[in-house]
Amino acid sequence: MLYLTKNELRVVAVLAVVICLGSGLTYLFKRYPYLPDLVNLLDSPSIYIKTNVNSATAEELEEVPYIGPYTAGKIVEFRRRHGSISDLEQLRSIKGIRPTNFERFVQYLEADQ
Amino acid sequence: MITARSWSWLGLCTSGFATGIVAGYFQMWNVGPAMIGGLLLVPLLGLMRSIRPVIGIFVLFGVLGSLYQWSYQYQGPEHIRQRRMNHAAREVRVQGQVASDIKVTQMPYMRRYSFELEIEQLGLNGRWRLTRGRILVQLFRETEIRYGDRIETTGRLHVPFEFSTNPNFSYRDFLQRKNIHYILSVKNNTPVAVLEPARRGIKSQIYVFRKKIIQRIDPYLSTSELNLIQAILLGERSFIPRHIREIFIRTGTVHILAISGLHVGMISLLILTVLSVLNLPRKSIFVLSTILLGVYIILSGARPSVVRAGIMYIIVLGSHLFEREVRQIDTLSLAALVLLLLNPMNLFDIGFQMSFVCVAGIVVLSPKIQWLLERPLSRAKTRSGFVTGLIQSFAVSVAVALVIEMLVAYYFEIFTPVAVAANLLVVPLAMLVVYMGAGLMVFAFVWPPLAGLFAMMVKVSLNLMVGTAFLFSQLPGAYFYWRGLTLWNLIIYYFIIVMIFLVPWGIICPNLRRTKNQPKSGISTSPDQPEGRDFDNTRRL
Repeated sequence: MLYLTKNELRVVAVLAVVICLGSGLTYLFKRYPYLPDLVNLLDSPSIYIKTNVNSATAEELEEVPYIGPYTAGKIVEFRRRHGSISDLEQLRSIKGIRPTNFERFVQYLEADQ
Repeated sequence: MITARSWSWLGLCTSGFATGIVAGYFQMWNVGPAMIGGLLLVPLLGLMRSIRPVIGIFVLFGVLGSLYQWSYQYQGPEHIRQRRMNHAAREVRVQGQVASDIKVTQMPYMRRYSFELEIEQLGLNGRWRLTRGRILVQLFRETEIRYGDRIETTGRLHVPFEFSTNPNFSYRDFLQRKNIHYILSVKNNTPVAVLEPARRGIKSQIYVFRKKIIQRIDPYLSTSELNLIQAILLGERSFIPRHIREIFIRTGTVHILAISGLHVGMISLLILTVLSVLNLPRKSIFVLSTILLGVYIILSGARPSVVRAGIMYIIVLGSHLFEREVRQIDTLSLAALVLLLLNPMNLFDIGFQMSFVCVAGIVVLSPKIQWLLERPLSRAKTRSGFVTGLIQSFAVSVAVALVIEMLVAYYFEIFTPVAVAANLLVVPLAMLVVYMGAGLMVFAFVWPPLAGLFAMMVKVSLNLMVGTAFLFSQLPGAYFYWRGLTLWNLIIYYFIIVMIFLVPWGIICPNLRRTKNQPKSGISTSPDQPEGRDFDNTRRL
């Protein structure tokens, strides 16, 4: 009779689970083409942690990726002069913020008042 | 009475050695604190005869540590640091040997290729000078240079820039601790000539193998998935998408994205399981797993945390083989001593500090926390394995959070109360990612159809892990920024932790623990038994 040690059983069980689940998932991903996009959270904008551009302090803005002390200071100064920001596109008009940099950090901001 | 028997001698030697390195680094020997310390030591030695050898060994290893640090840092007259270069960038020619793998960093607008160069000659003011030392070379174009190549190039030599706004982190100091004092920036149109190609060494072959692994798994995963799996399994962290890194930072789970002891533990378990299936003798399993783990350590960049885990693994496995009992605290101390002997400046490496503080927390604090958690359940006749496992995991999470959170707040200025809960869920998912990722890497070479199935599991588990971390980051009060924490705050905090957890539990006062806990915990009363069996982490490994 076939005798398997504990570790051999473990390896066989893992391979069996991978084959079953992997095959099932491959089938589902092919059968329902919208499923890969649904599962793919890594590239989804919905998982970006957003900072409120109106309530954040300069220090909090500095924690946002691609925003340094200079840009944070410019945003706070803009807010002080023009009041709260209703549309993030307003940030484009700030002198000293490059369009390429704006595109990078804007996805981490929100403008809820 | 305090007895010398309750001390971990290796721990004592290592802490003495580390203290000596700190004293040597900050040149404390010739200032007041050392004298005051010495004056205090005299009456202390007279009062406590029993701990006289303890203090003696501590001081002896302190002096040794200081001397070792001084000799390691000493640079001869030919060292690049002695060339007295101006801080302004200078155009120089250099000849030397590539001393690290080529590291690729994704910058906002381009990719940066950097490597360490062991200098042989420096061309300054039109003539070559024999020079020693290491510099960091940065290129902004793809290069075919490999580890071990002898090269010649021209560029601007400058001291490293300080770019961090955090007062507790200095990039210049970080590089200096690796004995790198200058950066050579090579222009895009400047050629990099290979004078002599690399000889076929083990290290260079391992780096080539790493590239092959990435090429093999590339077709199975999307770019983001590949970037994440590269970070988790091969230590290539520069391509992790920024928003994903932010999620892990804000939930206190960022350690998952850098190879650490957790990853090495999982990989070594995997290696052991596979080797045991091959029905090899125990000694062969030990030798083979040690070799494979060594390869993995080099493959992943040999960071201090990885080397620490590797040393501990080899000691534990060796103790099994030779049927010797080892204490976890001794294993940890030995690993620290080895790393400090390799490079005393490792002591100031953030990864080194976090890794050792973390494991010390697990080894010393978690059994005590577990005991506290289990006390209410001690009257229950039966307890399921699931509950015990849950308590154990929770105790480990709390212990790690207690020792690591303040260190993270000090270096990264963020405090994450959600970390305990987040780690309980995210770590098991990370384990799944590591196992499936390792399977993908192996089967991509061995049997590609099965690699596709492993890749599917990697996709799902990776997204599940990131999704879970994201949900935790959205909880109210999950994290907050904490600036202005000083080194003194940190010292006082760890002093309090030691006082709370170690004093009443028998490390400093073993009699207190013995009289209070012995009947309940069933610790032997025999003086031949090692003291602090349950709480001093002398569990059989």
